[in-house]
Amino acid sequence: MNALQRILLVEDSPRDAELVLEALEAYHLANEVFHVRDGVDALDYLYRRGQFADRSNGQPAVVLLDLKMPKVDGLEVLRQIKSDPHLKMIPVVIMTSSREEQDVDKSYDLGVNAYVVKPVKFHDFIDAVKQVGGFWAIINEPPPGSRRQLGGAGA
Amino acid sequence: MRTHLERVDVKAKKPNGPKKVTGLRRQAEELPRTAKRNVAAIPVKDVQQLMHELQVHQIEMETQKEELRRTQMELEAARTRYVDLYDFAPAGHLTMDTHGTIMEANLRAETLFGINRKALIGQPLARFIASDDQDIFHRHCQEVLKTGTRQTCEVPFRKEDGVSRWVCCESLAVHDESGRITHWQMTLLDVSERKEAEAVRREALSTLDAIVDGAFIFDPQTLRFSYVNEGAVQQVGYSREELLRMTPLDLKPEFDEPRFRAMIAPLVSGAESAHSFTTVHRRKDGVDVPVEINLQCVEPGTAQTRLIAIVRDFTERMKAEKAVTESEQRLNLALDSAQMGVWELNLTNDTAIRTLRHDQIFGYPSLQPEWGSKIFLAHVVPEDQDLVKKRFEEAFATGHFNLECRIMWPDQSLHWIAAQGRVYRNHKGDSVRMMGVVTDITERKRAEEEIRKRGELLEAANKELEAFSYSVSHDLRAPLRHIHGYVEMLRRATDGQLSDKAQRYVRTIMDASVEMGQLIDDLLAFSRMGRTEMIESRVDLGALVQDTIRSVDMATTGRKIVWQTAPLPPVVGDPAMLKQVLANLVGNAVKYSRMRDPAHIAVGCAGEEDGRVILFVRDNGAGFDMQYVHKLFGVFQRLHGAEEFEGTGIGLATVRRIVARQGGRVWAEGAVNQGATFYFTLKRSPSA
Repeated sequence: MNALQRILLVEDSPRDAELVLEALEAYHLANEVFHVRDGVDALDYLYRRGQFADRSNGQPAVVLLDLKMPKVDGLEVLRQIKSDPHLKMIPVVIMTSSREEQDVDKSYDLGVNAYVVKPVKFHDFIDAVKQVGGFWAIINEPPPGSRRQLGGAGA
Repeated sequence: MRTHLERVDVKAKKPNGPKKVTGLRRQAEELPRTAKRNVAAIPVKDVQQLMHELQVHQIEMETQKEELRRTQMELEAARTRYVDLYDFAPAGHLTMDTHGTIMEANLRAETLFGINRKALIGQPLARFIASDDQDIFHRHCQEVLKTGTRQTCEVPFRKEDGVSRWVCCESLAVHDESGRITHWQMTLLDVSERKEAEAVRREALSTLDAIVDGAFIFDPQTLRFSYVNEGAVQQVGYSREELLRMTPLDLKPEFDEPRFRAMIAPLVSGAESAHSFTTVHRRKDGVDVPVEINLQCVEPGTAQTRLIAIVRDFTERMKAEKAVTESEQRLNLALDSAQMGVWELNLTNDTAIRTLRHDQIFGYPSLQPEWGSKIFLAHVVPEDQDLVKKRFEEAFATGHFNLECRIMWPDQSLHWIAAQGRVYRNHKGDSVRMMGVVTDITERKRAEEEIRKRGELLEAANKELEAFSYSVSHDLRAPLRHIHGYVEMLRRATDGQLSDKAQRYVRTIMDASVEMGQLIDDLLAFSRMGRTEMIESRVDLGALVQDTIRSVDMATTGRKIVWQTAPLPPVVGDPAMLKQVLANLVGNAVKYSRMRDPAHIAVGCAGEEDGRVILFVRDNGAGFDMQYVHKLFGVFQRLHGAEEFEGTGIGLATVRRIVARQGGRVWAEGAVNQGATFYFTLKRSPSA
């Protein structure tokens, strides 16, 4: 649990998770992904509680968040992240099957950093994930908290 | 004046006095003459005789002197009487010289001119006459002097205090022995009151003429008209002269003389003061007109007894009454067909007059003997009592009454009523009267309730549908993506090992999943266009078309398309939905013209229809057979095979749904291989 994981993938579908990892493999980012299967686990991870209570590594550089999940859904996770002063700086990207207007509206209303609709075509899907992962995990300068943690872990 | 009087008096006494006086004087003068001559030679007897005679004479003289004195007193008294007569005569008297200057005036003249008699003497009479009337007076003077006979004239005299009095002047010239006019006498009579009375009479007559009603005055014995006004002349069409030779019987075809006399008898005797009746008057032109007559007797039982008839032609009123009746009938019909009851509430004593319908609305078959706000309140269900009281208070404050409440019928059935009305105030501002209508709205309320329930159901169904499409959007696409993704990964993993046939199977699976994805997207869009709220605003259609073309163009690299666009008017609509319409139609045009090089696509305006702009999108592509035109806009309806043109059959259905929601319509024209034109109408922006 101490390894540096720059991407937190919150995805209830193991198939989708596999496809995402497959896509990120192209950037050799697959090993930097930590995958949780629902909103409860995602929040536990970020708040270092429950099974993640003794997690010592830093916060992720980006959270890839699915919307429709059992127990606590993506919008609730997003709401909690963006309303917590310690977490709100972590970039959150919604990756979902739906382009329902109400979801897009609500997500931006809660302060989402990006909203990506997963394309059906595998090529398009790979492209989208690669671009999102590459941008947020590599190109984007992460917020101060993550960077410090990152730097510490790298040393 | 006094000198003149004396002269007149002495003259008048001439025949009695002077003769006697002359005889006595002669006897008296003789006596001393004889006495002087013979005084010594007169014997004593004679002297004694003479003495006796002298004494007798003396007594005679005394007697005569006494008689003279008495006569003089009588004369004096007579003179005073005449002076009084002159002065206190009811008429003014003036003596004037031939130039019209006042020489003498009596006391009455003083009051006539309002000036002292002494001041009158020497004044020209003309100065008391207003300049406007000088002519009349001047003519009168000339007549007097010329003819020498008695002349009269009436002229207003201005008194010293400025008040004018009408005076009748009667003048007579006085001649001397040679026939020359020396002076003239004038009698002046104040006729102001008579003149005023004449003016009043004239005014009364002109007033009578001015009134529109006919006024007829006739004698109760002869029945002849003695007066008719202008209104009467107008009413019957006879001239005034003709009417004055006629009687009421000549105008009234419904009356014979005995009947008419029987009718007026109680008026003439004074038993009745007035009699009103309606009959017809036959005009001179033979037309009968309906009249209403008010008959009155003036000074009954005197020689002046006369009957006055005020006659009103009510042809117009009958028309008006007919109009009122008709409009009442119309109102009743309206109230009846609206099943409205009418009520009028007297707030001072809490009583109300109502129509039968009103009481029927409260469940009574016939009008109740009593009604009022308290009785009304007793019918209102307990739950609505407070509301009703509140509405009444509002009505007193605002003047407008508006209420919907539930009432209980005598048979214990529940009914909804709606009442509207107004409050009327008196001059002090107190609410004294309310008037309005009432309707039974039980059915409406029931329908409303039904609609509300249905609305709830519909809303629930809509919510369900939304949840359904939300779920479709998420859950249906994910497996497709997985199919596509894993097949692709399978293809990579087996790179080069699969037979051509197997590779074709893999490609087909992938194509199918993509198609399915498109189908889901289109269906969701179609469903959304029917559900989402429309936000209307002014849309610049020209800019929207350019945007659409630009985005389509980017996706058609390698193709040659000639775009033709005309300036488009601004319209009113939901911008997002209109964008969808254009995207679908332009997208279709591009798709179905892809075998053309170059393809021609035109977007333009084709005039107006019912105040809506007709827009079109035309291409020179595959077109369609007009016999299948009715299938174009149905969901999942396609006129081309999927091998020829890909598509889900939802695009045009979505277009029709959007245009219909904005109140317009869509239609299409085309022919196989000759292109297609799609028309749709949109609301023109009012500012355009």
